[in-house]
Amino acid sequence: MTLRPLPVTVISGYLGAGKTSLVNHLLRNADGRRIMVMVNDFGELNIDADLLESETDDTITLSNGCICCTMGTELLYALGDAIDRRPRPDCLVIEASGVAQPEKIAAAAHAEPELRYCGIVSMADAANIAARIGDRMIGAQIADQLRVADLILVTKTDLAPLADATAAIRNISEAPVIEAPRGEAPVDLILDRPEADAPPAHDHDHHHDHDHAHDHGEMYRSWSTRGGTVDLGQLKALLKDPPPGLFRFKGRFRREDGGAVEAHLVGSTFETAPIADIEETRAVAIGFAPAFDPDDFARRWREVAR
Amino acid sequence: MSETVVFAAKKIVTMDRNLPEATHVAVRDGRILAVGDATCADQWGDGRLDETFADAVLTPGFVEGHAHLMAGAMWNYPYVGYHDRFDTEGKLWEGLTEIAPVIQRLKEADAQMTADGAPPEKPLYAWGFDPIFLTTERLNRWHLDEVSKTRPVVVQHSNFHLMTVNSAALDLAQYTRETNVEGVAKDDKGDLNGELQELAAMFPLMRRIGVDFRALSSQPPSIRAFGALARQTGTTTMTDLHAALPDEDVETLVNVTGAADYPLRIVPMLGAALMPMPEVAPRALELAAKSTDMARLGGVKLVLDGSIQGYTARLRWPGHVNGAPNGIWVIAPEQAEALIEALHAAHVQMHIHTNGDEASVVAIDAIEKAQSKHYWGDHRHTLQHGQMIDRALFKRMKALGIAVNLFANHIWYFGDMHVEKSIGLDRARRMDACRDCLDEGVPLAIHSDAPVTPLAPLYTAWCAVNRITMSGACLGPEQRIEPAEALEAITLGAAYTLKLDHEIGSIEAGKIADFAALDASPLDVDPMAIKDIAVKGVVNGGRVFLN
Repeated sequence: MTLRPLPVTVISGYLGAGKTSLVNHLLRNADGRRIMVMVNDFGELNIDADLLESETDDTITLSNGCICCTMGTELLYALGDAIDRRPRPDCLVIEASGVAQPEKIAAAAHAEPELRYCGIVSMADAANIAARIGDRMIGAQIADQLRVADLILVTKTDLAPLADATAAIRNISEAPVIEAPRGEAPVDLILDRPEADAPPAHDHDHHHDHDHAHDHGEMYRSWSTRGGTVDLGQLKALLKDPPPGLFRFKGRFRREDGGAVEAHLVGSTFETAPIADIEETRAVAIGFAPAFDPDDFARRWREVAR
Repeated sequence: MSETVVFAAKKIVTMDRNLPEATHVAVRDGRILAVGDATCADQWGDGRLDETFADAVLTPGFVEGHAHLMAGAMWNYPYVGYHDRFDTEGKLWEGLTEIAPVIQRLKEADAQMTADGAPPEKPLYAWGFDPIFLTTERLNRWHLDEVSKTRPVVVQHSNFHLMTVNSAALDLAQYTRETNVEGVAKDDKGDLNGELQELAAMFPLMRRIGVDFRALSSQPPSIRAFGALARQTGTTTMTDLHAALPDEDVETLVNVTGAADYPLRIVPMLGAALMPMPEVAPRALELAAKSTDMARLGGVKLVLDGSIQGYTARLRWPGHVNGAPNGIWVIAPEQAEALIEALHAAHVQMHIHTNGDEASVVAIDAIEKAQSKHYWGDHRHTLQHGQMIDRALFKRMKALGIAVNLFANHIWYFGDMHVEKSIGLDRARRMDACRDCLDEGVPLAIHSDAPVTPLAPLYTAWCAVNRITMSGACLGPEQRIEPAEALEAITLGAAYTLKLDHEIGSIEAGKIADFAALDASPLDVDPMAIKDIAVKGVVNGGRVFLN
């Protein structure tokens, strides 16, 4: 049996930007996902002690089934090792080094059929991101991390104003900026949800051609659907020109003209690929409040699916 | 009492100022007992005369201070490059200057695989291809489809950043006309042309064809191949300058190098980036304790920036002459500073990769700070490549006790490109500034970075002596050094950077009996002929290995 491609999320950001805090937050709120975390060059496994189950030289196993390891080899070999791991994890999170080029890691996820690009999250310390960007030595690399990001988390906003950091970031990137004082951000924005070709569990009493909207507090909203067939041209048009606020979209679709296709979108990056026929179309979208309006999206969806 | 063997030679170039030339060297227990004429061992009792090298010139065994074990592993696969190369068996692989002979060689390799019983879908990997020098059209998938329709055919380019592959290989990687991945190149009709650019695009294919240089480099056949390359080139001590060194690899290395028929002493350097920072110094010290005569452990490799020809080196003003942005830090400068301090404080010797001058400055600054906090008189931290170090920086290095291993081979292989495209004439003519280095009193080694350029210390010496580029020009004649200085750089100089100069690097009583046997002295031939001197074999620890 063919395994599902391993979704890869890259977390980048300079030293002290909060990458390890975010990793711990993701592990703590894995919500059933078996996450594999790989820590890049020089990284230490600073995993909160209460999450630990066992620990060897280079691998930590968590009580919720997640694992963390240092790369111990060059990046691509480490990616290969992650792909070959059985059982295959639900999500791979790469905590990149402080000056890493996250797009290089992402490029491998785009190229490798057994990996799926799941986004670059770049982290910025509110207190010093402007100075870092202007740094003669490392500024260009820090700016690149922001430029290629799908999502930017600004940390330590309890110490310095978010607005100043955002102003500096906006010279470089149009990606959504989230305030995350202690490196904590909604996990569904950052990681793939492995069963997400089914609607969220609390929706399962509905079925057939129903759209569902959910408000997850101030930060984001979601929409899901199942059933129907899609017009591939319309689906691609939707992904090419996504509605305001849409951040993630994924689904497996029956096509009007036969066959099936899957699609994934994060930020402005999307891919579609033909798949073997499936029983039922299912799709999920997540977008930022207030820009993302599930009702508007549902209307748009009706141009795509029948 | 152990036997004493007196080797007679046409001439012995000792690199020992007390007796620069001799005709005989007496060896006992693998070490040099005496040097001089036929009577040199008389006062030590009887010696057996060995005339194996009676027609040869002996020099100290060459020391390659910057190479990688992968240089041996490459020869598991056919070579299709532009320049002549010798494989680990000493067989000449003629350079291929057009596409047709490349295809022909690949067809032969394909036929050989078939004859050896390989299934028709088994991949064929070849390396060293260099399209820069080919004037014909660019190699593409359709050329390679002539080699095989069933077998994935993968031609790795010499710079390792590109490959050209056939249709079967594209299928294996699941690349199609619909693929829209950066680095998976298409022609103007939108068809895949078979070129895969950069590691990410190559990754799916490399995984599927099972070419894994990480695994290959730690396996006994590759270590033996590395030894064979060394023997052919007169090299008796060589680094593997970036290694993961888990215990099992160390055990393999110790076993293979410890065999009586193994001709090379290997000095692996632990790759610092492969582990959390606080673990580097303790692991290095642990490894040092595992050293044997033939496997010397304990040093650490640290990489600060990229390469000049790849535009990823960190340059000071005025940067790249073609307007390319400054290069990249592989490690954040502040992190490098912290690591350098930690390793220095623990008395772990560092080999620090700095290609661009800005990277060299960061390394020198960090060592200066570390030295101020934790004085260590004889650290011998060595900047590796150091290609853009100028005279002012050499002065600082001298003051701080920093050595350098300059990339002399770059002058020939990349010198023209550096003038035209990367850094421009002003800085290119003082690249790899061996003269300034010696004049400022900085300990000097020179290297090949094999397999980046071929292992051949005499060739490296030739580059430093003549500074000739591929176009035939002399790039920066003021930075040329004398043949004797170049010979020192590939023997005692390199040994110094490895903290082994008390044991190897010259032919004098008490040192290990490591010799290179040549058909002429590099000090006697026309300087332009140094690279053409034939190597007859080596002596390592008194053991004779002939080519």
